[in-house]
Amino acid sequence: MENDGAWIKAYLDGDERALENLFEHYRRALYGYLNGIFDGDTVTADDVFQETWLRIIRALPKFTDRDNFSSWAFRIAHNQAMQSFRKKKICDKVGALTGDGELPEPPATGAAGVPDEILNAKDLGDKIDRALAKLPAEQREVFELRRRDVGFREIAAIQNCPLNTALSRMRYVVLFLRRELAELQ
Amino acid sequence: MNKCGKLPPAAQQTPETGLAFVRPDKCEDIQLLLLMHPDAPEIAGHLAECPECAEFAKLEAALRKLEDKAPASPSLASVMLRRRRPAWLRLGVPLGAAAAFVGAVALLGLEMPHSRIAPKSAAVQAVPSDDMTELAAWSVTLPTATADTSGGSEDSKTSAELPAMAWDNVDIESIETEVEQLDTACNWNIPVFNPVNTERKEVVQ
Repeated sequence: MENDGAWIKAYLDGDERALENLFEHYRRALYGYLNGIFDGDTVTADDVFQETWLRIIRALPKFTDRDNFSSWAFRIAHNQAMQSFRKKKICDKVGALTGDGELPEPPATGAAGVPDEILNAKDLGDKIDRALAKLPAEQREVFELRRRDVGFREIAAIQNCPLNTALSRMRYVVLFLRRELAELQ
Repeated sequence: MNKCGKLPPAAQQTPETGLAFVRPDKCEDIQLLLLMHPDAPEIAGHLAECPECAEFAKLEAALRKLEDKAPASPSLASVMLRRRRPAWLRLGVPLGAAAAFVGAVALLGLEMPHSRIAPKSAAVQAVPSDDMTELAAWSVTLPTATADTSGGSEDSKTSAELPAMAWDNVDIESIETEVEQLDTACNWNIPVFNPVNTERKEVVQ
């Protein structure tokens, strides 16, 4: 993070290697995030990933808050992803926002918990990915951002929503996954 | 009473958390606080007494430890290649549209019989000038004939009354002479490509 500002400055001074460093540092996180919200559609994720970096590179000379590159980059990725969603007119899924723009009630979990053997299984990530595919993009996005250590305030800024909405979305995802994983046993 | 069976504590403002809700009085608030401030003091006590929130905390912690197993992303080189693409797209699309428009206009012009860019028809050139004069004289008599059938009104005009319409007044021979002079002056040497011997020959008129 502290290197971001130095890399950006070096790139703007003509050092192409600095841009490579910046790219390598964030490529996994940004691509993982896009791949997550596009539900494994790598073609669309590739396209949006490239467009995101294209816009980042173009906007770097005007980017002043260089210590917050991460939030800025994720915000650009989010905007590009939303454009792609609009083009494809992705339909709402389970747990999508209600007509009033409010979050729906989280799924009932009951008393059953998630067994430790499921939580510790090596394929937990695959199971979670399959379950996440049932969620709408905005909730999946919160989870994907949180998974990459993006703070909730940044997530709220990226999604242009109140902090409590971002937190509620994450809570919804955790409760949803708890129910989905509990049903696996 | 809450979902977890605990009685809600007295509501107190907690401005240090920065959250919109007051001191947590139900499981939902605890869970939201847990997401934002996992080390908040009120959480530990609640988790010890509420199995539902303890389960929530355990799963949330497991999710944060998940490995990022994203497939290989596109390279920076592909991004830079894409960066250059709009340059020729920006130029290519308008140029292509302009070329298509010019082509369409030219094609339309060739199809129109009296167009300036239409090639002079060999059939028209082959008609002797005397025949052209005769044809023109015949065509000018048409208005007169039409007027006669309508009763010979005052509006009817003969070829003598319409000197501008009479083909007799057009010096066709002088126009053809001018066209020939123009052709000679331009000296149209059209190169012809021969695919067999790949030589270019010039057609000398």
